[in-house]
This record gives sequence, C-alpha cells and structure tokens, in this order.
Amino acid sequence: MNRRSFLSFAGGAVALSVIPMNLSAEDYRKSKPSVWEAHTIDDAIKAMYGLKDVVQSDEVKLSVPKINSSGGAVPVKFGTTLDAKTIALFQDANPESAVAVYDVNIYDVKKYEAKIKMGTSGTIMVLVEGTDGVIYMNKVSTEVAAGGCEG
Amino acid sequence: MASNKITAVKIKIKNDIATAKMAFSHPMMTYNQAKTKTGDREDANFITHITGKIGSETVLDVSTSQFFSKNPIFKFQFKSESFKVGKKLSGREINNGVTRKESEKGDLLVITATDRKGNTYKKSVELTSRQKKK
Repeated sequence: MNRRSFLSFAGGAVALSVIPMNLSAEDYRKSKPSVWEAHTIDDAIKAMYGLKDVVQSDEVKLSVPKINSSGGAVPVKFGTTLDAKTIALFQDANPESAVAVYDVNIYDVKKYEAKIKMGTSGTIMVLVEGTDGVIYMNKVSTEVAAGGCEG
Repeated sequence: MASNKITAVKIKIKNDIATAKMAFSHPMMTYNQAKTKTGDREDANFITHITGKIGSETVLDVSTSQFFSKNPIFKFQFKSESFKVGKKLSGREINNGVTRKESEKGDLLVITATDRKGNTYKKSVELTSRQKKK
C-alpha cells in the first residue's frame, strides 16, 4: 500500500483507542457475571481483576460502625483520592461477596455512602483499580447483632 | 404491593461539588429471601444497575447487588463545574410569584435504574444552587 493510505490507517487506529471513558456505561452485572456469583472475597477479586496482586493502601477510605444492631442496614462510607478506573465493594458476611462495582467517570469525586445487608459479622473490603494498573485495597471488620440477609 | 420507584433525588451544590442523595422504594429481595417467601429463588428482585447522566455525560455508573438494604439510599458526589447550575428560588420568592428566565435554569441530572426483572426506573432533578458562581 502506498504511504498515504498507510498513514491514514494508522491515524484511524489511534483514534479508536481514545474513546472518552464517560461515553460508555459499564454494566458489570452483564460484562462480568462471575463477580456476582463468587462466594468468597478472593474469588470475587479474581473474577473482577484476574490474577493481579492487591496492595493495602490508606488512600482507600472505608468507614463502618464497629457494632450494628441490625444487619439489614449497615451504613458504609467509602471512597478514595487515588486516580481510579473502578471501585468495588465486597464483603464476606453474605452468601455472595460482591455488593457493588462503580465505574469511575471524569466527574466522579469517588466518595460514596450506602447501607448494606450483612448476614453475619464480618469484613467489608473496598478495592480501587488504579489507573496505574495496581489494585489498592482497604478493609474493616464489623459486628452485627442480628443478621440482615434473611429479614 | 407498592410499586417500585425512585422516590427522590436531591442535590446540594457547594464549591463546584454536587452531593446527590437518591432514595428508592424497592424490596431488594435476595435469592434466600425469595426462597423463604415463595419457595422460588427466581422471584428474587433487586436493583442491578444505576446511572446518573447530565445530557450525554455520565456522572454515576454503578452495578449493584441484592446486598443493598431494602428501600436503599445511595449518596455520591460529582464535580459540577462543567454543568449549568440554575438559580434556586427561595420560598419567599416563590410565594411572591417570582419565576426564572430560561437562562437561570440548570441542567437536569437523569437517574436511570434497572432491576433484575428488567424494570427500568427514571427520575430527573435540576441542578440548582442558592450560591452565586464564583
């Protein structure tokens, strides 16, 4: 092929890889169904990120009350200041581990609050998939006086 | 049975950060709860995906599970600088019949949620603030 058509082909290929992130919504329930079927945090991590190592970081914030009277509504505040692609919330107190996966956009302040169910006392973990390719993690243990999964 | 819906979406904007709080009316029924209630796990129904969009721009995108509380409330924050924030009228202004010009109205945040049974819920709220833009 002549030089001109080769250059325009290369230009087109580069443009395809620069699709702005915020034009696509990612439904991880559809794109990664095995994440939601995982029964342990380790399996959920493998399903979500593959065989990457996970690094503990204080830049991943997570706060949960130490004791909860009801497991039906455990308040969780979490987030990060790290540059991130996705932020996942996992726990080991329910039959499956994955609670939520946030797909981060350019406007995202990455600070979230919600109430979750915990069937038993256990560990809640937040995983931040950094734009640097590293998976950062922080975790907190919490006690539940009465399980909230069977409510 | 009450119909499921997004009950409310509220936004507070300060220093170009919007804090949004959304409340749903939804049983968020887990597989185990369905098995106990009807004997059929497949009766489980819970919200699986929520997006927040302003025009074509995404400010929230979260895939969710049965493990959020019944009638869940979610809070999230996004940078509002790029969007049009309308002027919020005070109660007195509204009582005095003050209306806003088109140029004083803000962009709309549209929340869309889907649940396991494929139902879709939508709610829009205007971005407004009392504060003058700096």
